[in-house]
Amino acid sequence: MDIGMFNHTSIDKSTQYIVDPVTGQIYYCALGQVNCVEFTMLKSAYLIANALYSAHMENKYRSEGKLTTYNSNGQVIGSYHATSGCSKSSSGPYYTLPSGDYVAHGFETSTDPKFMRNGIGFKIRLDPNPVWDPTAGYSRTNLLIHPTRLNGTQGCIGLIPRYGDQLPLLDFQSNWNNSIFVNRSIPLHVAYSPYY
Amino acid sequence: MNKIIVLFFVFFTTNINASHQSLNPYKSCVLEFYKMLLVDSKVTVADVNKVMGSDDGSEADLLIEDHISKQNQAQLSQYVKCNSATLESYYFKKIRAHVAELSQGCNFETISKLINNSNIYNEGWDLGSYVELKFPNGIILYFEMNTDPPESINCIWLPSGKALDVYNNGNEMLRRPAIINDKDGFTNVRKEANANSQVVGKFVTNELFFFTPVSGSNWWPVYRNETSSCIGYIYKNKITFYRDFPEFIKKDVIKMRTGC
Repeated sequence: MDIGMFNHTSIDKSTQYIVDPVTGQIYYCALGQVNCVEFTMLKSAYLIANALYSAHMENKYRSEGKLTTYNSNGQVIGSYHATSGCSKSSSGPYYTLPSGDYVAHGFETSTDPKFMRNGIGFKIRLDPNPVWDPTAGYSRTNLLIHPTRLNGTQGCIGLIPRYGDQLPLLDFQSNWNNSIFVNRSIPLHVAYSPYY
Repeated sequence: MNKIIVLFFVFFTTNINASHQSLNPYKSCVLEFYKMLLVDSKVTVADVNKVMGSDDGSEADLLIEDHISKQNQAQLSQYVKCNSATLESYYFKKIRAHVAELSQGCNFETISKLINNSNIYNEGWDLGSYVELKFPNGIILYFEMNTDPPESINCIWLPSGKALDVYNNGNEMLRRPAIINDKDGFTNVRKEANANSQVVGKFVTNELFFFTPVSGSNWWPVYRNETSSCIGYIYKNKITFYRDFPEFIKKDVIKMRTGC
């Protein structure tokens, strides 16, 4: 199955699509008003079926590892350097995101410096919200996936490619935005190595 | 005689260790960076990971981008990871291209002293600090540090205010928070970096804005907020730095830059 995404700005609000019964291709509709538009073909191989945040503990609170995305065939689409939690913030330490299963949904671009790195900003919400954290001994709320300027978050998954390297974030943004648009949500599993 | 030699050795090594331990961890990181840049002939991937944060596949990406390897990213990343202790860092080779700008003609000993005397400050970042390295020629470099252990260099801001960029795909400028320092109650923003240029805006007392410190220039680019584009230039003497802000404005900056 292939997915068509319009490049044309005048139809960027289109939310409907049709499926070609012969090829299985999906085409997003411009409500019948546009007969000929340019679009980019996106293979389903690049649509994220699920994701894994697999990390080790850098210290008691902060983990660092990879957020890896997989397509429906179980093949790796992308792997991104990420961190969660922090041990030294002015408002106190924050434990890493509790291990377990989550659902990522609701992609939003952002110009808030807290959610930006290398000039690119976005946030993706995680459910359940709130989630009980047995290590911290309290519930964690409003957890997200987003780029982060510095090594550490208050429990969100922060993407931290080396400074200046925009490509991993652009790649992440494009894949997650398209995949959430098509699939509505992406299952995420969080697992840690037991040492630091 | 042997006892004297042993005592001297113990005294000497103790002092070296004591002076190393007393150096702030951020300054130690910057010192290690300059040792790699100016002293070490071979810098491995593991060396770079220790000082500049762990390799996220960037070594592999750069090798592929420069057509040095035709292996796929995943295979190459795995190879780099397995051989990080011996493999020379291609990422650091790219940094070496900037050695003149990063050392300003100073040798390692001089830079060690500069690092020792450098200022460290935090401008509202929860998890970051700047090591401000002032060279004898007036040029200033800013080392943005990750403060959560293990401490590492997040970014190096060059005299132009631009980030050291080994990828050629970023164009970000250092932005420091500021308020005006002007008894008139306002400061004009000029379109160009000179006093005769057209006035394109103004900032009033206690109005927060951001600026890029450009070494060697008296006029610094300013921004309405952390992510907006440059609106013009202000004479550098008209700028009050974060450390001299009233507490209530510091709180605003902290709120803006922390918590995620």
